[in-house]
Amino acid sequence: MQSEQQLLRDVSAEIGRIVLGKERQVQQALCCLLAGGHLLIEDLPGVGKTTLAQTFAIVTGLQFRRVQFTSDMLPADILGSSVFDRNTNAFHFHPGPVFTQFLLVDEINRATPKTQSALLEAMAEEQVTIEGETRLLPRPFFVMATQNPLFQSGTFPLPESQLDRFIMRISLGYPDARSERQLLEGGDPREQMSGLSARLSVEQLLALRERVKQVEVRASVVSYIQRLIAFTREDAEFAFGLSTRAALALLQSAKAWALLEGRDYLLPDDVQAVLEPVAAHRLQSSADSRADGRELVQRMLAQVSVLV
Amino acid sequence: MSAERRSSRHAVVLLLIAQLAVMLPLLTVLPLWLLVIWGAVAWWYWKIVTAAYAMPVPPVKFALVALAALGIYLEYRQLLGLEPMVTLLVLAVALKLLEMKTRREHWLVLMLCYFLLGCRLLFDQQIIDVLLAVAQLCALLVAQQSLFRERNAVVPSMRLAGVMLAQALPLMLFLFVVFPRIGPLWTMPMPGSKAKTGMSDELRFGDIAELSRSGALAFRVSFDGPPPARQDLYWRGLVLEEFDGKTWRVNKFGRWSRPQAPVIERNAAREYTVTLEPGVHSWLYTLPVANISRNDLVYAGAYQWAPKQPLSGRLQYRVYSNTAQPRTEVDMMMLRRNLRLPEGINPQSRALAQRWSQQYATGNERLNAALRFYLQQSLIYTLNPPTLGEDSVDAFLFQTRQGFCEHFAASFVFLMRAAGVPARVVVGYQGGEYNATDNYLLVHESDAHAWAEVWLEGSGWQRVDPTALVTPDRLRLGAESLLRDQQGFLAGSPLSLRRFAWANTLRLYMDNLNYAWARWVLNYDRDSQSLVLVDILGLVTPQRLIIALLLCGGLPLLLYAVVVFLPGRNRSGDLATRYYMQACQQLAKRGVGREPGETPRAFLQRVERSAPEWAPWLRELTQCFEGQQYHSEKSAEDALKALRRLRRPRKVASSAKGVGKT
Repeated sequence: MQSEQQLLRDVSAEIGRIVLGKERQVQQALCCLLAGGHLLIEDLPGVGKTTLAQTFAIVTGLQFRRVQFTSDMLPADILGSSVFDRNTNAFHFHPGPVFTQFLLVDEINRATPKTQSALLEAMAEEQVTIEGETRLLPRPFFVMATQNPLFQSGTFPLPESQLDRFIMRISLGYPDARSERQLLEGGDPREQMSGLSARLSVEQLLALRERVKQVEVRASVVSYIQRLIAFTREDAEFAFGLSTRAALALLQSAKAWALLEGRDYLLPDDVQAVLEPVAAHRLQSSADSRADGRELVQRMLAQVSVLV
Repeated sequence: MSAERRSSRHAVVLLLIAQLAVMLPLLTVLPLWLLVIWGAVAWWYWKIVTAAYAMPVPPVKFALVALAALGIYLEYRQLLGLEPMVTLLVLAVALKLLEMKTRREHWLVLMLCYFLLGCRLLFDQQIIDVLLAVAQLCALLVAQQSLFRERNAVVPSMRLAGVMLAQALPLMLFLFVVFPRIGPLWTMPMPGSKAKTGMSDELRFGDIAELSRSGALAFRVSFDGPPPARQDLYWRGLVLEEFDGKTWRVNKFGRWSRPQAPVIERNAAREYTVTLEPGVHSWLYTLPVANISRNDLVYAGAYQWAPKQPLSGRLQYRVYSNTAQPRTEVDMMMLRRNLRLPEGINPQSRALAQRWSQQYATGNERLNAALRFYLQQSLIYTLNPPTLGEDSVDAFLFQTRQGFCEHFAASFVFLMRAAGVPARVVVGYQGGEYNATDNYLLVHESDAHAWAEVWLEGSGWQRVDPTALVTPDRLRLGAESLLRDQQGFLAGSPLSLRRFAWANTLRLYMDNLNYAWARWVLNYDRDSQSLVLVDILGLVTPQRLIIALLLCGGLPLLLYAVVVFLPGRNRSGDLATRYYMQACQQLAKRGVGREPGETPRAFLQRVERSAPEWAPWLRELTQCFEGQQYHSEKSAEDALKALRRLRRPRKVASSAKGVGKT
């Protein structure tokens, strides 16, 4: 327990060297990685999404690929395709960028729905089927996708069913003044990245994921999760309730959060900590209410009783 | 053994103890070999629990069941009957151990034990049996708790069992009073081996005296009009015509001759309903001359009535009687039968009777002579007459001169037959305890009586009660008052005065207790229930019943519902949560309230910031609660105890060890 906590603290401290003043978001991203899910970062351009992703990739020691989504992108551009080799008179498979451990997808909502769904299927199944042949993706496989807020022009918003595949959605927001000043004075963060080192091996990461599975969950927390989910299904503010997959994602992320907090048992506090990133992007307010996802989550936190 | 599916060894031991506790009292009515079988099965099961043996395979189980059935058959020679069926159930409960794998089955066996406990009460319902049942219930409740308790704490379990029983008591009393007494849905074979008190179809000296000691109720009679005078209440049961020198018996062939039932003049008849107490009934009690119009009740000759087949349970029948109607049913066979006496016994009495027959010509004169003789002989009516020898009538009439009603009646009949007058013994009840408010008569076993009937040419069968001749009080006051005097008389014997005085008092006290039990509990039937309801409600109408039920049942439930579902006072099903919430409510009264969406830890942090004086206590409470609720490391029972202790807010932590760990 001690060594794992030390290790995780070490990882987030190392990331924090580059990504300044974003400790919570870093923790959330780590939580997402430990829970075995994929992360969606939604924010304006230029607030450090890509920097976070790159730093994250280096420190976690994962093989890193990056894809910039554009509107003319085809599924084959991500998954790969077979190319005819004249010397051997045969088709050779050229794997696309998806065959990596850490995939950064920039501006996922710029690509057409066809390309988006090709990626999302790969994310859900951890394998791709190209030209009738199924190929396994490497493990661990972690996707960090960024997207611009939907009001920006030239975007194809992800449908709810595909948003559901991201275990969490976070946003970075503008840095606070002190961090921004520190950043401005410290020079180009891209240069500083060369000084980073991997603090986590693949084996260690997989072991940590195992530990997440072993986090003890008592019935009272499960029923709290159930009450939260039931509330979204019954309350009039919500257009529709959370799915069972959302409940699973909530439990899984909360367990990872408990591990990050250095505990091997789950508290309702863990559930509350991850509720917003897990639930906010899956929720929609009903027609007669203008609350956004975050306000709905606040409503859940305030109204659903922790103890019954 | 996984904790979830199988029961702990502790629970197993308690289950075996509970089974034994339920079975042992049953062995007073069931064969003793059940205990041996149970012991073997328990030992086998213990071996299975300690993983020395495996569970028996299905063929073995089938063989065991077949053997059990065979054992029952060999014991009883039949399977239908109360004892064989209960034996079967006991065996099933014992053998079930051998396939008990899950907690559910453990639970099932416990429930069957409750059922067996109830079965015991089919055989006996005395106070002692009920006290025993309470003790057995305690054992079962303890065994039941062991399924859910983590710790092997027998004393707290006993305490809880006591509390549960005490809680069940008001409900039990309530149901006892108001629960509808439904008649039997099927006739149950009555326990056979146990001798029931009541009349038998033969009479020896001492039989009725024995019966008179019983305070049990024999039957009730409710009259449509005013009841007859007490001295006319001769409840005729059966007529004994055969005498072998020692025993008087019923004429076995009387019933086969299919006699014609007497015709009653309906206008002159008295109408009443007789309700016999539960038991096996082979004959009925009526005031002759009587007629019963019911298909399953038939006339048995000599003004006796009887069911076609012996009936069990409570028996109720309507009777038309005309006590003034002369009894003239007679035939040659009957007269000859009622003159027959065995040769060579009671020579003294025989000589006396023959003197009468030479002296007087008519039966009437002989009868008067005999009555005079009885009055002159200064006979003593006593419950405990001395034993009589071979020539019992001679011994009674000329030596001991002490006897109970059967002595009087039988000797009188002997004398009359010897004097050439047809005579027979009639057995039944005399008198009864009259309940004037509800116009019914309670006839107890202690009212059992025997009298004589004499055939007189011209006037038919005449009832003669020599007992009444000698002790007119028997009729005026009833047997009970005389009986009480008798016991006082007996206690006066000089040698063992002190030793027996307290024993007698104790016995009397126990008698009274049992009598009260029988009267108020066992005899609490539909009639007494409606009487009680009338007492409470005044008039029993469906509306009043419903209102009473709503008041007694609905109102408390409504109050309970209000308490439970009142907002802000919801009580958690989980004990630890309830303690924690109670503590939070207490703290809210002191100005620091927890929001419903606030986790214990977040609440603690807020209290630490805003009201730090409560923080040490709340920290201890929160750690305890989290440890109990979300983490299995700590012993749940210890944490519960601590939570219970910490329910009241304090400004200082109760112990230093709970503080720390951020």
